[in-house]
Amino acid sequence: MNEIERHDRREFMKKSLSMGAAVGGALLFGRPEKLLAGNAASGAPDLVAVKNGEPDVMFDKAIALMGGMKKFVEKGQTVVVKPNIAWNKTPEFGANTNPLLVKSIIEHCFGAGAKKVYVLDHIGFLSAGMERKCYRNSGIEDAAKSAGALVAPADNEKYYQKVDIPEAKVLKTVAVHEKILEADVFINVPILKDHSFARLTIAMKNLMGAIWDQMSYHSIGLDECIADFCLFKKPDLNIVDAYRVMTQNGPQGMSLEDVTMKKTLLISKDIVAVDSAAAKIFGMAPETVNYIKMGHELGVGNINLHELKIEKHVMS
Amino acid sequence: MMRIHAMKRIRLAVSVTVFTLFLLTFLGHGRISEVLSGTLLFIQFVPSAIQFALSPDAVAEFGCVFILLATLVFGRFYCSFLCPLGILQDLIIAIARRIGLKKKHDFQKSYPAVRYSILILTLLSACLGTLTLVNLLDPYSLFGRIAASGFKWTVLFANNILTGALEEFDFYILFMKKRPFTPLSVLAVYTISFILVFIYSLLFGRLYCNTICPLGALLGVFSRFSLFRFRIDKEKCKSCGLCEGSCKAGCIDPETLDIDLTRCVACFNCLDACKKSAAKYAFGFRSMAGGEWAPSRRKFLLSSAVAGGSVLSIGSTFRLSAIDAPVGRNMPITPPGSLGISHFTKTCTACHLCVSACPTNVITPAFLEYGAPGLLQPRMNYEQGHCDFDCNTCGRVCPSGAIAPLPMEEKKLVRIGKAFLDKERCIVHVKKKHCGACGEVCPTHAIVPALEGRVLFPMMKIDYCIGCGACERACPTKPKAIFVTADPVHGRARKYIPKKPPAPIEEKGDDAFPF
Repeated sequence: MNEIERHDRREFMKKSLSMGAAVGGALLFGRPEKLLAGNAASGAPDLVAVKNGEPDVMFDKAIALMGGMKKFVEKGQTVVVKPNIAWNKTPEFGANTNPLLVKSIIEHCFGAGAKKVYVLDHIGFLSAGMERKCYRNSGIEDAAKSAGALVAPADNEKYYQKVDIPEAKVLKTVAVHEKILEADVFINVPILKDHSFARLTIAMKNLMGAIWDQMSYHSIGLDECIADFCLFKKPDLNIVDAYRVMTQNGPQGMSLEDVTMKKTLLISKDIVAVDSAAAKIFGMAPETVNYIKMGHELGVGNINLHELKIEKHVMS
Repeated sequence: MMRIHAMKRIRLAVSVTVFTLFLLTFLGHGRISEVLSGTLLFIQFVPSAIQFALSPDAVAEFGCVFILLATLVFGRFYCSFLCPLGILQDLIIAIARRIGLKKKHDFQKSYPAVRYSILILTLLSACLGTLTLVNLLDPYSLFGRIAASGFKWTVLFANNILTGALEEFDFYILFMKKRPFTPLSVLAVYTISFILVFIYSLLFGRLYCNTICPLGALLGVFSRFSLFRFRIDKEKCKSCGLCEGSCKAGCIDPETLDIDLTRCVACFNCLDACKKSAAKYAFGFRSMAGGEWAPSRRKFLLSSAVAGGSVLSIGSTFRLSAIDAPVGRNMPITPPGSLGISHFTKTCTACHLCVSACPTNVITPAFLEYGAPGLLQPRMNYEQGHCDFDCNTCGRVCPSGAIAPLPMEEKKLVRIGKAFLDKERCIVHVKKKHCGACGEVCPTHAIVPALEGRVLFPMMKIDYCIGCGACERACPTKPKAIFVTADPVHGRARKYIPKKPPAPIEEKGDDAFPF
């Protein structure tokens, strides 16, 4: 017992010393952000923000700034692209992810050598046949198919498998779509919009479409579950569509009056950072959105944008 | 192969077409049913007659008038050409013949007392406002229920097996379909009626049509006087019995060579069977040789008097129970376009086409929820689904006018019930934690957020509520913290006119990212 403790202490001392040295060194050389940045070695940004372009053109630029799709998708891999397709609305209402963006992402995946790309979203607790309507009217089914992706159903419990999240605070087990569990690469493509009852829906909340029993989130605690799920599955890439932004009456939207053109696109590996940035684009302090704050506290990602390397680009 | 008589060939062609279209109407989903039902169900007598009785300005009323007039000219052609249950029985009979189970039919005794008693009971009870007998016995509705349950489930089952197999190989061309929920009690009625029709047709040909079916009895009254009629030329007849053996209705008497035109379903089998061209279908007035008619008339009058008396007494109690039975939370919610519970129960023949066509499976058959008079009539069942805001299929397929077709914009404002939020159960109120599942899915702005502290509470704006049940369906608590109660007479919700959002803050030039 004692020996182990002593050993641990020694180990700790060693680690702290070397950490201190590293920090000191980094400060000396003037690049402290590299310590926190995931891609320190390659020099790629933590977050890329592009604006004033069409969805597909902005994505071309953004992924190039991120270092290209090849950094995320390797030859022969299977990819799941998970947009928000939860509403039976056409694209101009800004209720679902922009189909043009989804199409562009799929094309980049195949460009990087992906073997298969699945597109799916679990639309939620509503009734029989609604998924078909949402897939179709959102324009995503056609867009995805035209790019060669497989549009997979998610409205049956048989597609889901139970997983445990030991480190979760409240969401200890959850049933996740098998295609997401089996995929090599998981790309989260939310749309930024108002959410009357959860403030905002962006990348973290979009992952509710990856699980079966969304009702349980509501009864266990919506914000807590959204944050907990990220402990299990952090997408390899989060691409936030803020081209058309629903600024009120979300998440469903009542009319085109609710939609404002922001023509913005954000991408990041850090789901909390991307939500934080998107919240600011919406005009809301990220800390006021419970689940973003919780995600930061759980160590899922970083809410403090000033600590990150952000690459911004305005299309001309 | 023998040449089939021209008239029988026409009958076969028409009936097979009609039957196929019927199957498509009932087995297809939404759009297919909508397109077909408009033209196909126009010619269904009972739904059309109900429209005729209750809303004489509707176009569909002409269906029943047309059939009655045509029966006066051609006889009971409806039963062989247009009635889906009749055609289904013919199919069963044909199969029974082919496999040698029942090679030939015999002349059958007529049961006018039974037949006319049922007809009168049905008519009287309908006049008293209960459609229960109509619903149980009308051949179109009976067929509809068989198709919407057994046939449809078989198709869905096959579809789901095939879908599962295809998905294994990454083919996503078919989709899993859920079958509409059916209570066991209703399932029992389905099964019993199907077995009855199946056994009757297998063993006795068209016995159902000539003893039980009230429509068969009614058309028989008219076909007695039809201008074109079947008869047997006694000079040419060699009494070979081929026509009798071919007659599914069992209405050719081999002794007298008389054809009972009240029971003849105009299938033209006898013309086809007769080698000597003795069986004829020709223009001719009725010779008033009332062999069968006179003695049975007295019996008929007597039985109808008894039947009338009993139906009046039974009917009035049914009627009372109709007013008493469905109250409060248990009152069934009727589909949008049905105007309310009273109009709906008086007009719905329980053919279950809406049950089959409803894309969200929210319409499910009820058993006794409407009380005895509304046996089997469908209701909105929010345990099974919600009424899709952008859908008006049920009204567009309903053949009897029980669910009127509503233009989409109108349907979005028709209130069939109202949601009630129970704050003692609501998660947000009890735990002070975010939920709002109800408000998220509400399509009409009837549930809006109200911020208190850091928590967004759901708040009802009942004027906008149409009772679609999306909130009840989405609510995660058990029992539900938000539920819809019926509006016995449908109302109209206020239309929500979205406020313009505050003008967006001016962008600070091109490089304006807020971080």
